[in-house]
Amino acid sequence: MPQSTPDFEREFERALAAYADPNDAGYPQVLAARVMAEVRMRQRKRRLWLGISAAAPLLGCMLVAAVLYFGRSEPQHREAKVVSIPAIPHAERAPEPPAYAKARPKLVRGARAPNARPRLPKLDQFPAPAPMSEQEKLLVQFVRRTPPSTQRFVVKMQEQSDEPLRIAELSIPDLDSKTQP
Amino acid sequence: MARRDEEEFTAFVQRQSRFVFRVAYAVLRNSHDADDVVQEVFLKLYRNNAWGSMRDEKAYLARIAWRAAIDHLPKQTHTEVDEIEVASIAPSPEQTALEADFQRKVHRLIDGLPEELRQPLALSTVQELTSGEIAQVLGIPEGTVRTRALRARQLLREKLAALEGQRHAAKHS
Repeated sequence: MPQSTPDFEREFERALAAYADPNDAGYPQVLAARVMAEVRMRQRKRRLWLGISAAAPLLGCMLVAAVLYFGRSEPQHREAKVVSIPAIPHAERAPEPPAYAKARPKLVRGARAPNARPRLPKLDQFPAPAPMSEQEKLLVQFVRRTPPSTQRFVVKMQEQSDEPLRIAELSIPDLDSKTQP
Repeated sequence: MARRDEEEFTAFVQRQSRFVFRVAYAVLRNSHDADDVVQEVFLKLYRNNAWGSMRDEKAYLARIAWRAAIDHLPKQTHTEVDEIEVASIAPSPEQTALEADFQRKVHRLIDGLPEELRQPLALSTVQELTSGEIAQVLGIPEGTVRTRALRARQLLREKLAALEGQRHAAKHS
């Protein structure tokens, strides 16, 4: 320790000045390099996170769209079946529901009211006589136009065609070794 | 960050890093911790983008450096001056290098001061800081800064005189 007062004061001030200025203090360039390296690393991380945060919603939307697209295709078929079933006459059907309501078609109770269906007249004969078919009409015309002899011939021919066919017996000779080549 | 901004920021870091280091070191008394504080301070400035719009650059930097250093400070750093006194009178291999020894003693005694006296004195040893700026950093009136710094110096002188007396007594016995 310095002995004299001026020396003491000088050394004391020097020691105070050195208090916050160590010999192994970092050089500004080194400190700056460290800081800038950290800054760049954080910038890279930030960019990465920005990319992820931008891509995540996009992927989410794509996923939702895919689920909606593939999830809807099957119910659409079912819907078509359900809509084709109703037994209500076409004229009395309720008005077509809008497209957005087609997912769950509702039956309108008012359209099935019993009073809305017209009553049919009661018939004397059951089942009711059906009108003649085209073949029956042709047959009636044939009967009217052709003479009775021709009619009998046609009937006879039809009866003959209904009879079983008779085929003469076949006689197949035994195979002889001499006849073989 | 644009290239020009990056260059400006690098220049700013190079210009002020030493100052920030000294403020941090004055509080922490450890080079590695002070380095960490320097990095933390400049990263904070970069993140907040506040480095280009500082009014009083040194006062602002000193304030955030001091706060960051206080956060790094272990909870119980205050060591009793008496323990240091006992250690300082023990013979050391550097006793011949009186000046170096004297500096070490002074630094140990400063470390042993109560924080309310040590911090104004430590910041006043950073040459670039005025008592007004130290008052801003510590959030106390400028007059209080001067009073505490003077009180700390007075205490140090008393302790050093006492140490010298003990050393002489040990030599002659």
